[in-house]
Amino acid sequence: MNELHNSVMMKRAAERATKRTFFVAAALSAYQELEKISDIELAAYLRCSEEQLPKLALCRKPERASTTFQADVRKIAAYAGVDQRQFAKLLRVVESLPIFQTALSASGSGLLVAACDRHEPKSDGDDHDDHDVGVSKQKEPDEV
Amino acid sequence: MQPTEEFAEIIHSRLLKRDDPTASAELIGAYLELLFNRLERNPQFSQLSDKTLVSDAVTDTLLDYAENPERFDPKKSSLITYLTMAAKGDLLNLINKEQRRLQREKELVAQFKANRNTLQEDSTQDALQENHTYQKLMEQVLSEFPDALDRQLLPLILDRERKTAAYVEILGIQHKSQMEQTRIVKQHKDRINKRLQRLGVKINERTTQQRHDETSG
Repeated sequence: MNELHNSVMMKRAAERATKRTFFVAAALSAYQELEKISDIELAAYLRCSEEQLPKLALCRKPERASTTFQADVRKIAAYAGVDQRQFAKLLRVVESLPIFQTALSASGSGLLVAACDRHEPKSDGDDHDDHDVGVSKQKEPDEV
Repeated sequence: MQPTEEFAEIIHSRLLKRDDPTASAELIGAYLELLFNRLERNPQFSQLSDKTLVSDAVTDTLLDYAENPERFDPKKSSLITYLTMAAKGDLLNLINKEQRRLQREKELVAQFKANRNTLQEDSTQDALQENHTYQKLMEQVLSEFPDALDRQLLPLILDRERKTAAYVEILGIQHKSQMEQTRIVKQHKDRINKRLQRLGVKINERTTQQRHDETSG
């Protein structure tokens, strides 16, 4: 198999998946848009290489309302080789964005997510600093 | 290498259960290039110059299936047969869509040129006036394209240059793969054409107003 060709195609597939909220790609794209960051910066944030992003992007996006959220995040992180904590943070940030609220409302789970957000103890997960995790803070020389 | 029947059965079952978040990525990784090669070698599509259409069709088919695995009935066919048929259908749709887009683009450029000629013909009696009118028209066009790169791409688009290489050179993306080049060039052309389309409407409105002012004045 032509590895180069396959990686280009996977990247292209990940790009096309950004329009579908079913996939992690939509969350990654929304986060990039929010933080105005490139693929390289996103990879640094997730502590992985740029080449690993398509694999991550093409996974099904875990739903926070689901009881399997943490397990799904763990599984995806292990599969794609990204930092689990950073990935979970990213998902929490983007799920508060209007595009995902709309998608969740349409699927009938929006209110449930909002309720979970209100009642989720701060110690559950790593989101105590969710909203001050600007990518610039994450960028350290050894991560890029 | 083609995924085995056993792999196909397992991946389909994992997708159906919806409890396995990595199944979609594994599916796409296993079938993407295989399906692309199948369609690319298909005599029906082998002459297709824009390979990104094949790639897009295959990708959309796999994304659709990952989201809606219940549409595939294993009793009727194998997974690879189902995906190949679906990708063929998607590709035919994309080809038709692309042909309609090219037709619209052709009409747009013709309309733009007709507008330019009308403005020039309206003022043929006075060479200075003609020059002034043409300059004004170009100013209108260029004001919509402040970016230096866009201004270099614009003449190619107005001259309906079809060769990707001409755009690639201006964009400086010779180092990228052919598929990436085609994709990037298409993005730029679509963006510029959309602006031209909006501008065409504006120019039409202005020329109509201009004629109205001339006759009433």
